[in-house]
Formats: sequence, C-alpha cells, structure tokens
Amino acid sequence: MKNILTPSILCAIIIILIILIRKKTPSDYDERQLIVRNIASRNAFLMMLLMNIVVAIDLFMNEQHLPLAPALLMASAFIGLTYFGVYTILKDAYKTKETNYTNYLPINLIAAGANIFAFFFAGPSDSIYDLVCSVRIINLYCAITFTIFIVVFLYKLVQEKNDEKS
Amino acid sequence: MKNLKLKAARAAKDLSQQELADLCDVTRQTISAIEKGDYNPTIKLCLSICYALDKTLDELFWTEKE
Repeated sequence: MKNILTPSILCAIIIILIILIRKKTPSDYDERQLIVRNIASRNAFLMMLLMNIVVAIDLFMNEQHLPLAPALLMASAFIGLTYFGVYTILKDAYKTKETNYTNYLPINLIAAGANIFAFFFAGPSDSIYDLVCSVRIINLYCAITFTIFIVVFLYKLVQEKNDEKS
Repeated sequence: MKNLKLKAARAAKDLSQQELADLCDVTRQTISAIEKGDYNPTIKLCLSICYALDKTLDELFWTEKE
C-alpha cells in the first residue's frame, strides 16, 4: 500500500501544479482549433472503445492471452491518445497561438528517453515477454507515443519553414 | 472554394497571414485555411477579419447563388 501511495501523491501534486501553472482556457485556441480538437477527441474515444471491445473478445476467446491483458488494454488507451496528438498536430490544433512546436520538442525528448530507460533498466527481468506482461509496458507505450509526437513535430516544423518561404 | 477576395484585400493592405492572424487573434493556419476554402469561419471571425481589413462582409465573403 505504501508503495502505491507515494507515487500517487507525487502524480497528484504534479497534476495540480500543471493545472495551476498553465491555467488553460478555451481562448488559448481559436475557433478552428477547437473544432479540430473536438473531432480528434471524439474519434480517439471511439477508437479506444472499439479496441477495448476487440481486446475483451480476444481475451474471452484465447485464455493464453490473459497475461497480456494489461498490455493489450493499455495499448488501446495509448493508441487513442496518439491518434489525438497526431491528428491535432497535423491539423495545426495542438499548439496554442502563443506557443511553438520547438517548445514541446525538448520535453517530449526527455519523456521518451526517460521512459525507454525505465522500461529496460528500472528493475530485473528475465525476458522481453516478462517486461511486456509487467506494468513497465506503460513506459514503453509512453516512449513510443512521445517518439511519434517528436517525429510529427519535426515534420510540421519543416512544413512551416516551407510555408514561410512560399 | 478559395476566398480570393480575402487574399486580395489582405495583400492590398500589405499584411502577411501572420499579421492578419494577430489582428484577429487566431493562428496563421486558420487564416490560411479560410483563404484556401478549407474552413468556413463563424460570423464573429468574419467580422473580426472585416474590421482588420476595413471591408464589409459583402466585400469579403458574399458569393452569388450558383
């Protein structure tokens, strides 16, 4: 219980700090961005729901997949999140009027690196299969998600540079 | 359908997309999307653009019935 309490309190403090510091209001995004974000969140949520149903059916049909249940369920959540991020970045609705993609790059790089490190080296493991079946799979999903974001950020940066030239 | 009237009015005022976007409190991409015809702005944003370019709604956004 004590093992869960400390990280939970830490997470809660970080979330509260982020909310207090950023104080995001809808006016940070313009009307087109809000529409794009609405579409993206709706599609991401639907995608997550459908994938959860597929995973549930798969687990019901194949008992040997049961050790992979947390990994499969978390995958659907991360795919939904990744879809939301990629869709909004590509449609220019991820960053606010004041921010730039370069603001997001360092923090995404650090997050991806830290998660890859945590996945492989945070503790002992006998095989990759053990790692995938453990909660450390979340670190791998985070790393993949942030890496995808970095690639899309870089693509958008190049596209913006080309737009400025033309 | 591309909004060439908006593009022409912006060019006549010697404003870049970014400058017009700043005047209307939106992103440059939103102005670009309106000019390309990829996004239909709300009446509020239409008015904001009209005020920034000293034009009327008719001059910038009216199209004849096809």
